[in-house]
This record gives sequence, C-alpha cells and structure tokens, in this order.
Amino acid sequence: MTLLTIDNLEKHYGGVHAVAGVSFSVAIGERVALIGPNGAGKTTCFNMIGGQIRPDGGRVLLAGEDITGAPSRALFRKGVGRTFQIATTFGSMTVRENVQLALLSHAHRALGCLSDATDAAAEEARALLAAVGLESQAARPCDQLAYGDVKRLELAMALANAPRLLLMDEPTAGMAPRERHDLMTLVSDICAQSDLSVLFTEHDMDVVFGHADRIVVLDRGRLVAQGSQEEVRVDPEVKRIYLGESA
Amino acid sequence: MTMPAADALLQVTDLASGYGRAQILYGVGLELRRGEVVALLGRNGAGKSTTLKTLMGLVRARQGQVTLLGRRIEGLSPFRICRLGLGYVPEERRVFAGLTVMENLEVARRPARTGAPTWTPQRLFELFPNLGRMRERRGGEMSGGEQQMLTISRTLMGNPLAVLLDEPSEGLAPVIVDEMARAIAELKREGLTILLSEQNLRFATAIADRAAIIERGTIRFTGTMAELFANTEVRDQYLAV
Amino acid sequence: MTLADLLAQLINGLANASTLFLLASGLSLIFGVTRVVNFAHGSLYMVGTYGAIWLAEHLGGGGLGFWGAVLIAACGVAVLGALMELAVLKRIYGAPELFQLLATFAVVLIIKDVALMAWGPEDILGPRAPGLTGAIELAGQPIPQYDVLLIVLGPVVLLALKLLLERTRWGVLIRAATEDREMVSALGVNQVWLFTGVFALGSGLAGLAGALQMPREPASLGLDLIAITDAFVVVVVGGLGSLGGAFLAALVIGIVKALCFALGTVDLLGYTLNFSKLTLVVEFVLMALTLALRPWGFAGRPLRGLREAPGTIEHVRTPARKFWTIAMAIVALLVLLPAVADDYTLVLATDCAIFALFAASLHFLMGPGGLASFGHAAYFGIGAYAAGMLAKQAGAPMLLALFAAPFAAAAFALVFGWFCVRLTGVYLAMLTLAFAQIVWSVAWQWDDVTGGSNGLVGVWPAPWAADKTHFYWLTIVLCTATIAILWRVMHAPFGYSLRAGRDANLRADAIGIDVKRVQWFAFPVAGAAAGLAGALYVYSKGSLAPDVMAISRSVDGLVMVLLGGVQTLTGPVVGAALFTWLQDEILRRTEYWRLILGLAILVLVLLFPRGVVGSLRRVVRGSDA
Repeated sequence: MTLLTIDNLEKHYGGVHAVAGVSFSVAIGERVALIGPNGAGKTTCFNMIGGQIRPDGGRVLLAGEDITGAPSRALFRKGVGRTFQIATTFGSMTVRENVQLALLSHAHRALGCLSDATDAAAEEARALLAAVGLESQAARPCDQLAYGDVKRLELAMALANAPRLLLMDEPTAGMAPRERHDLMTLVSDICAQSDLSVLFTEHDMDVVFGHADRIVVLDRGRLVAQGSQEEVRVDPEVKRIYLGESA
Repeated sequence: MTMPAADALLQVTDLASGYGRAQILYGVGLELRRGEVVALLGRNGAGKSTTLKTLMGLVRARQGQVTLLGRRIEGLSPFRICRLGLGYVPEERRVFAGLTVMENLEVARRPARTGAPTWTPQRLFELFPNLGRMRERRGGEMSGGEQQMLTISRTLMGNPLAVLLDEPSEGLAPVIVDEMARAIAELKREGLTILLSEQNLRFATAIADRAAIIERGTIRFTGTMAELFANTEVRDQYLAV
Repeated sequence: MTLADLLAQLINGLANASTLFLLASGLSLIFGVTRVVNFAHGSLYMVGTYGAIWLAEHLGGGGLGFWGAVLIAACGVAVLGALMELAVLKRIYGAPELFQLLATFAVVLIIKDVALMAWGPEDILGPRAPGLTGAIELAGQPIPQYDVLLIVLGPVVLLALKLLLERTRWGVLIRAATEDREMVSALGVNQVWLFTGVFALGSGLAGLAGALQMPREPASLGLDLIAITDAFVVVVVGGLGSLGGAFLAALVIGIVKALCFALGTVDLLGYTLNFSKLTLVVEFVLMALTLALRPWGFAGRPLRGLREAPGTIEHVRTPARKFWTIAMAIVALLVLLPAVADDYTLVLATDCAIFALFAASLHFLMGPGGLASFGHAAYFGIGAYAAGMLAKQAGAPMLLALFAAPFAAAAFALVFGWFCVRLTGVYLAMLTLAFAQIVWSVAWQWDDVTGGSNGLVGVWPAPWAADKTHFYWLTIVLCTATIAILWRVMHAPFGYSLRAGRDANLRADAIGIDVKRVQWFAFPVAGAAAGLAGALYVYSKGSLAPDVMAISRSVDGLVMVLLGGVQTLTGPVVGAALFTWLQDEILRRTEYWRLILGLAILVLVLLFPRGVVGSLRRVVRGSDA
C-alpha cells in the first residue's frame, strides 16, 4: 500500500532547475532513503514534501490526499512528523516541556491561556520520552543536552501526533558515531512496531545501507536510480556520481 | 607521535572542534610539507570542511595545536592567519555576489610574500582564461564553475604559502572538473602547498602526492597515494561502500 | 493655494530631503556593515548642529567661519562616532542585538545631558550662511539660495558615496563586508578597523547633516529623537542598506510633506481637511504603507537572519515555593507601605507600580514573543486617552474608565499587531514605532476630541480613591493582579507556544503551531495590560497630554525591560521600579539625571550583558552555563 506519492515535482530558482520532475513513492511501513551529491536537489525536494517550500509543479499525495504546498503545521495535523538537519528544539524549555507542547498542539490546546502548561499531558510525555530513551533527562533544560539527545528529543516531538509518516532530514548529521547507530536503530524499532513510514536524507552510507528498505538517488534535480540496496549499490550511474569508482 | 619533518609547513596535532553542542573533530593530526598536495579524503560529514575551517580560525579549536612555519596559529583571528600565509577556499565558494570579478580579487589583495608565488589579476587570468573574459561580471551572475575559478583566484591574491581547498570539484560538470585539476596541477608547479578536501577520489588521485583519510572526526590513514591504493583494507573500509 | 506657494514649499521640501538623506545614509552605512541599529545617530546629528553654531561664533563671521564650522563640526562628530564604536560597541558586537541597542540608548542619554551642560536648555539660533542669504527668482517666487545649495548637495553626496563605495579599495571592502563578514576576514582584512572606519564615516555624515541645518533650524535638545526617527523612517522606507533607496525615500518624504504644507486647508465635499496638520504623521503613514506593501522597503532585500547570540536564552522555570513566599511577602510589604511612607513616597511608589505593569506588558512581547516593540507607548497612551476621554467627554465613573481602557488598547493592538507580525526584526520594530507615532500625532492634532497639545485636565479619581493612600492601594491591587495574569498566560500553553515560535520557528510550525497567529494574539494581551497602566497613570496625575505616548516613553519602556533583563518577568518589573526610582532620585539631586542614568546603563551593559536580574540570577546560581 502506498502512503506517500511524489508525482513529477518541479522547482526552479532563477535559471536553475533545482528539482526536475522527480517521482517516487513510499509504502506503508517502508523506510526510504533519499541520497545524492550536494546540490542534487535532495533538500529542496525534501522541503517541498515537508511544506517548507512550495513546488512550481507536480503533486504530493498522502494516502491519496493532495497535500501539495500545504504548510508544515497542516501536515502535522494530517499525521506527518518532521525532524530537521540541524536539530531544533525550544531551547528555553525543559525536555519534558518540549514534548508536552507538541502533545498540547496535537490536542488543539496550544493556545490555552489559563491552565498550566507544565501539568499537561504528563503521562503521554513520559511515555514518549521513555520511547526515545530520554526519560531520565526529562527535567533538564534542552539546550544543555548532548547533541545526540537533542536529536532524540526532536524525534519524540515528531512522534507526538502518532504520525503515519516521518520525514527526517539528515537524521544523523553532526552526531558521534555511536549515537548515529543508536538513533537509527530506535527509528527502525518504532517502524517495526507500528506501520510508520520513514523518508530520510542521509550522507552516511552505513546508516543508509543499515536502515533503508529502499533507496532513491537524485543528481542535478533528477531521479537517477531507485530500488533496493543491492540494485543501487551496483548501479554504474550511481557509482559514478555518488558512491565512487572504488566501490 | 612522530617528529615533524624538517620541511613541515603546517603541523596539526590533536585538533578538536565543533559547532555548539555538536563535536565534529576528535583529535585530528596532519602534516603539510612545503610544495606538496595532500588530499583530505572522507565522506560527507566526516569532518573535512570542519578541519579546514578550524585551521583557518573560522571555527574555534577546542583542543590541540596548529603550527604554521613554527608559529602557533590556533586561536588567532582568521585575518591574522590569512596574513601569516594560509589561504582558504570555501566549499560554498562564497564569492561576493554584488562585486565584480575584479572587485572580488581586490578584496583579497595582499603584498607579495617571500617563499610564495606572487599573483596578479593578469597572471590569474592566464591560469583561468575564462575569468579574464568577464572582469566586470558580478559574482552573482556567474555559473558555478566560473565562481569556483573566481574563489580560487581570489584566495591566491593574498599570495599564500599554502591553500586550503574545500571540495573544489563539488557540483561541477566533468569538463570543468578537468579544468580545475589542470589549474591545481599548475599551482603545484608554481610551488604552492595545498591541502585539498575531496570526496571525488579520481580527482584527488590526479593531483595529490599524499592522502589522509578522515572518518568521524579522526584521521584513520595517512600515506602516499600509492600506499593508499596498495592498502585494500583501508580503501574498502573508508572509501568504498 | 497658488502654484507659487506650491513651488516654494516644494523647494523647502527638497532642501529638507537633502539633509534627511545625509543623515539617513550614515545610519544605513553603519547598519549595513556592523548590523548595529545605532539609536545615537540622531544625537550625533544634534551635536553637529550645536557644534557648528558654537564653532561659527568662535571662528568669527565670514564665509570661512561658517564653512569652517560646518566642516570641523562634521569631522568632530566623525571622531566622536569612532570613539563611541571603540569604547562601547566594539566590546559588544557579540552580544544580542537588543543589548547593542540599549548601549546606544545610553549614549543618547549621555549626549543629551552633555549638550545641556555645554549649551543650556534654550534653543540656539544659528548664523545664516554668508553670501547665501539672498534668494533666486524662480517663476516669480524667491527661492532661498541656501536651499538651492542643499538641493544640489544631496545628489552630490549620493554620487560621492557611490564613487567611494564603487571606486575605492575601502569601498570595495565595505561592500564585501556587508555581504559576508566572515569571508572578508578569512581573506586577510582586519574587520576591526573597517568597522571603526564605517562608524566614523556614518557619524560624520550625521554631523554634516546637523551642521548644514544650522541656518534653517535652531539647535534644540529635542533634535536627537526627531532626527533618529526621521532617519529610521527614511532608511526603512528606502530599504535597509540601500543608499539609492534612502535617497528616493528622502525625496518622497520631503515632497509629500511639502505638498501637505502647500495644500493647507482644503474644502472637499463639504468637509474641511487640514493637510498641514498631516505633516507630523505623513512620513509614518508612508512608512506603514510601504512596509505593508513592500516588507523590505523600496530597494531593500530580505535580511539574512540576524543571529541570536548563543547562550542568551534563559530557561523558563517554574518558580520554587520559596519564590512565591518572597513574592507574597513583597506584595504584603507594598500594601503596608502607606503606614510608614509620606505622600511623596506614595506617589513615587504609585508611579513605580504603573511603570512596572507597563514594562511587564512590553516584556510579554519582547521576552517570550521575541517581538521588539519600539512603539509600546502607543497602548499606554491609548489606554490613557480612552480613560481620560470617557471621564471628561462622557462623564464615565472611574471604574468604568479603568475597565474600558484595556479593551480600547487591545482593539488597537489587534489591528497594529496584524500588520506587525508579517515583518521581523528591525522592520517589525520600525512598524510598531510608526503606529505609535501615528497615534501620537492624532492625539496631538485632533483638538476637539483629544484636547490637542494641551491634552485633557481634571481627570480625578472617584472620591473613595482620591486619597493618595487609597489610590496607591488601588494601583497596587490592579497592577499586581494584571502582572499575575500576564505571568499566568506566559506559563500557560499560549505562553509556551509564543516562546516556541521565538526559539525555533520551523520546529514550532512542524508541530502544528501557527506562529504568526500566536504572535498576533500576543499583541492585544500586551496592549491591554499597557492600556490599564496608561489609565491608572491618567488618574494618578489628574491630566494627560500627548507626551504620554511620545517616543521617549517607548524608549523608557525598552530601557526598563532591558535594564532588568528580558529573560524573566521579574526583570522588567525590577527594571521599571529601578528606573523610575533612579530617575526621581537623581532628578532631585542634579538636573543631569540622564547623564548619570546613561553612564549607569553603559556600565551595566558592559558588565552584565544579560540585564541586572538575569546576571544576578547567574551569579547566584553559579555554574549555570
């Protein structure tokens, strides 16, 4: 069953054709990696799916529903979670408050003026933090966390709306070697437990080959190859533009 | 630790740095001898760019030493490091978009330096004939390849002893990559010392004398290009997939 | 109106446009390279005017004396600007923007009092330019020769600056630094000298503009704020960092103002419109329109995100039980204050409480919202006028007036906020300033309703609250309750959403928070609280004038918030009380209270770049880094 369909996506910047007719899909429960050299259009493509950039052409469908150009906050309501290349959390709040706010927002209670935010959704917040292994750090200000833990916290927030689809832009960038493996294992476990689909961009090939069910390769705004790990590994074009000759 | 070679121009020991909470480099050690080209190889995110930025003083070194011609430079501001003879060519090119080619060169102009080739716009236009045909073109109106030539030329205007080149082949058409390789080989003949960060192994092989492989913020291998190719284990582990 | 009148006004407007452009170009240059919004730029202009007049007297008459004075004054101001950069700003380039701003406010205060010491409180008329006192005949209309000179000078300076920037190495370096400071540094350019040089040039232009105005406008101590607001308007309308845009904006503003003068009173469809009354407000209306239609001015481009200095975020804390005990004890002490205090102290304490509420309301926008409002006095003033007008015009009882005032202020805040949240950073700050100036000038000029510049007198509290002690209690109760409500909202989901938008806009969007809407709703909340403070202020003074919402009140608010520290609600409350008390205390001892206050702020900014409360908390908590 297809969850996300990317249909002929287009984006121009001035004279540059950043994304030129890219189409692919993500099935329910599938983990898909989007890879390619810098400037291949990965980030642009990703941000068009995630609602940060409006496409010039093409469509994005979520379970058959057209979500092209919908802002990120609307996608959240439709069950899409998002993490960023440079992990961003609300630095002035504690770890628990970050997750509580995401939960409050999911419950349409983020504009409340009278209740105390720190009392809200305590049990759900605890469960989410436990799921990403941050339970013991719940009371810490989140700008004092190690970077790997910031990434985990971001993941917890992205899971607050019980998403169908998780969009992760370079989920392991800037992390220590050990943390990379742990974070992606965590994501894979969550996928295995539910029908969560994941679309992620990544430069670390260990992560890609360790955690992607399928790989989509972009170069110069075009889709060059897609398929299983084995198919992509031996694809001569992919070797030439990205993986390198010595493979 | 080995003793620095007598002809060491740049000596890097146990360098650590990063951005905010994210540590990128974990004790990088490197040596650059006068007149050689060293390729810093590694995947995206391995720490290549951060290494160059830290050497240039653009990212603060948290630990370790950087010595240029016997003088400690870690902790100095970028402009002082530049004036001591280290040139930096950034990965994103960062040409001044509103300035013309000539103006871009003018920003970086420094007096001649003993022990380093002296560059003028005229000599640079011989190296990159394309640039000479667009002296009054603004940086923002140039193609990626032209910008890459400009950003290298701009750094050379400071008459550096050594240049840190961050992925000069990145995102360029193959034909431009060939021209870049030719130009860098020419710079080497001029006696310029170069530290080249690269992902494109073929490009690096064409111009480098030695290679250092960086992976997850640490140097995993150093040796000549021949040694690198002879060492199948290293190749498979760090360069191959 | 005759065609000749129009021509005369037009020439005057064009001459004004020239000095306006000189002033604004300096501000634009400085902002472009250093990213510092220099509030003291208007003060440098004022020093230019005073200095030139003083020099002209001492250099003796004749062309040499006059022009020598102009040149020396301009150069002197350039040196002053460079000194200011070296002594103050250079040390805080790494600090958050708002602290740089606070430091330049402090310089404004210091310069104002130094000028007062040197030249006294009276306006000083300058000499006319020897040899240029006559007039040229144009279409039968005498055109002052000096105006013609100024009209020519504007484009000449524009051209000279363009040449400097386009044709010299220094200019090339400046343009490069405006684009990418870090890269310029990596190419071997010492930014430190570049910045000082730009400051000197920009300040020199302000000084020159001030000096050239000496025959046209008397030197007065109010010139600094007038000049800085005019300069901001021109720079923002023209587009930050664009000299051509600033020139165009100065021309448009000069001409539109001239047209308003020339049109005078016009009968239109039975209504009498007095256009000359519009001159006070027209530039702000123009700015609001420009920003609403073209958010980056005529020629500006979106600013690259101004960096927030790392480590400036203070964590929200749920205060410990001890905090509440202390807070309760302080409130109890305040309630008991009349037992020991005399009337004078009570009036001062009432003021302190009112301004604590005002500062707390501004903090609500600036702290959790990250929305720097430079025109917060508008809501204070609207609240004050709503209460005053209800009492005087409608004969409403005090409680009704106090109840209605916050709603009036909130209504305006809802409208203003809708426009403001579409912008960010400096542009947002300028738009809030524009709205405040529009409201102020309406109050100033709508004689029939607001009492015009005389304001409203005889707005006294109800008999049961007329006693100083009773009114003090009323104030304490209302202010404490409102601050408590603000605190409640800040710690409710709404406050967290607001903070989320400030901390990480993208992240907030990704968890379904509509950041713009949350920010928009913050405006009426803050506006209502400021409106209540304004209403209480009217009743405590018994009268009000447009001054209650002048720029200087907005500036006072900013100083209070930044002085106390923007990170916590306690900060602004303490800052406001400290500021009000200090002002009163120093004022009783010396007329140079601004100098003392300015120096104090400078010391505080340089020593505690987090504000008093923020820094104290850090000291107390030790290793909180």
